[in-house]
Amino acid sequence: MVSSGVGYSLIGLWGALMIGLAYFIFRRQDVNDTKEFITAGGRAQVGLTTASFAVTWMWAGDILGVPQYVGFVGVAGIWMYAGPAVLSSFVVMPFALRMRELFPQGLTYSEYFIKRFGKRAHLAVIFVVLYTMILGGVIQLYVGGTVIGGLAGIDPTIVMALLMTVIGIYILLGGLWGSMTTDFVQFVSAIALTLIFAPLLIFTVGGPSVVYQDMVTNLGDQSAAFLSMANFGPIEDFFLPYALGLGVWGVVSLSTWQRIFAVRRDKTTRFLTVGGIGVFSTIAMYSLIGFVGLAALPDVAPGAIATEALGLLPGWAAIVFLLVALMVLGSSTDSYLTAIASLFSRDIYFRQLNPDASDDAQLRVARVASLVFAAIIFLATELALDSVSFIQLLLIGGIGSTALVGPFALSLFWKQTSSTGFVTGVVVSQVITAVLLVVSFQVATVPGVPALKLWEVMLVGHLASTTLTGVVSLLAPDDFDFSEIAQEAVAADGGDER
Amino acid sequence: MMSESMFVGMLALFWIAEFLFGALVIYWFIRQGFGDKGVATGTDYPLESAALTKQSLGIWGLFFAAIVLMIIVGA
Repeated sequence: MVSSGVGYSLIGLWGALMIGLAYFIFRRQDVNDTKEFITAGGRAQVGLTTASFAVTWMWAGDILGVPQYVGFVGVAGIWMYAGPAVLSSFVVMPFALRMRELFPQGLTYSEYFIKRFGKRAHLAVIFVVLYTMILGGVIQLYVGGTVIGGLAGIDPTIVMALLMTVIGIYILLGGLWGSMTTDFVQFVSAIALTLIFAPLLIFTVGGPSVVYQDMVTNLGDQSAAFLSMANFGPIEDFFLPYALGLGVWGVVSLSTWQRIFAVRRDKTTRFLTVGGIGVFSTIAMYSLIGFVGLAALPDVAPGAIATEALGLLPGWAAIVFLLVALMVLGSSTDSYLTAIASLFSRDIYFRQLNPDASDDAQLRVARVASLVFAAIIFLATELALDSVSFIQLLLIGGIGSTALVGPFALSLFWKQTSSTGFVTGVVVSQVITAVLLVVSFQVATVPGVPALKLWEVMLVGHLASTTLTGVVSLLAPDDFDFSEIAQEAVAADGGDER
Repeated sequence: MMSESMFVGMLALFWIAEFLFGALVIYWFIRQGFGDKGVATGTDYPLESAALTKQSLGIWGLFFAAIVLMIIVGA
């Protein structure tokens, strides 16, 4: 742990660097219209987009979460933790290719639904996307505030307020360009963290052989299970709920879609493939912290392994580590904030409230929204800290994706998918999964509703949304002509033109 | 249960994979920069070719096969 003075200095240094970078890119890329602000003009290069995509999926929570998984599950915790994030990059590929063919002019993916189904379905999508994105921001800030506040000895509330102020300002300046540019620096920092500090930690306690032998000694009878990649026992608690929720999060996440629309069209699957698989290697490197915990700190609870193990690092390393943790936190939170500001400006303000809004007006709204939602995420995180656990937040975010993935897929590939079917599938499945989650978390009892395992709740959500959309669409089918969307070009300053 | 040499080898493999991933992305960025300056809009680019999509799917196939192999060998 470092002193609070050093902590404040590091936050100040990080803030100045990030805002300076955002100002540089604001001038360099001329971020003065909504297309540049929301999708980086659709001409970002693969390297920048891959770094940004990968680092958005590497978040401050991984530093705590991966060692915790290793503490509970052993080496199999690596693929159980990394699987959902990697799966998400794979699952989104057919959606991305189809959307870039049908809706190449898109700024937000949610705008597609207004073309496909009209305003009612668009509103349902906005609701799900908005709350999942705000929850995403809250989760990042929640963990980041706790980790950084804990390492720097500063009240997490103060840390979170400072972080959101800095992030709000740099998103206001550069939009997605600002987010992606700062992400690149944050990516390099995260890679340095894993390549240098994780091995340093291993050698601080004697090297990999000593770590292995100490783990076997400390774990005793449990070592066979903990040192087996095929330790499937905890799969229901540690893998399936996240695979079914976060594993398809990429399809719903507007921050993922912003990067899909930002990268050159001819390189769409390239960045999803390299970025997604790369996340696995980063998460695998975080597991080294967990192995050190099992070897050197046998009496420490899994949830505290990361902070205790990192305490073994020399003082200078702890300071550098804190700076890197700030980088990793910023990369994910800024992505969610950019997504929310874009959604508010484009989908809510322009599409729903003021279709005649000029491009300047939309850009102004996006910039103001980046500050307003920074404040909202901060306040929501403050409330969440007292009333909801981190795991509950993650799972609530997961049920949002279960509502959209199936209906979205049907809408893209099946012309008979109707607006009524889509809205019914999304709304009813959200209600069903919300009730099941409340009962399963033992927040309340509902007569006739059983308490299910969390992965079962997710599965019910997917089945309900997809089946309802399919059945209702079969009863009253649409006959949509996909070429109608593909032929349209959306003018940035309002209205559509052919 | 994996042996000591397999455990050490696994850590080395993770390190190499992470190094290659970081190096590839940084190399791309140094070569390509931020964005294409000569392009007015992203829709000026053609759709992704089927060959590139198949190549990406092939990489995913190899990755999933490697994960399954890792679980079997490391059991």
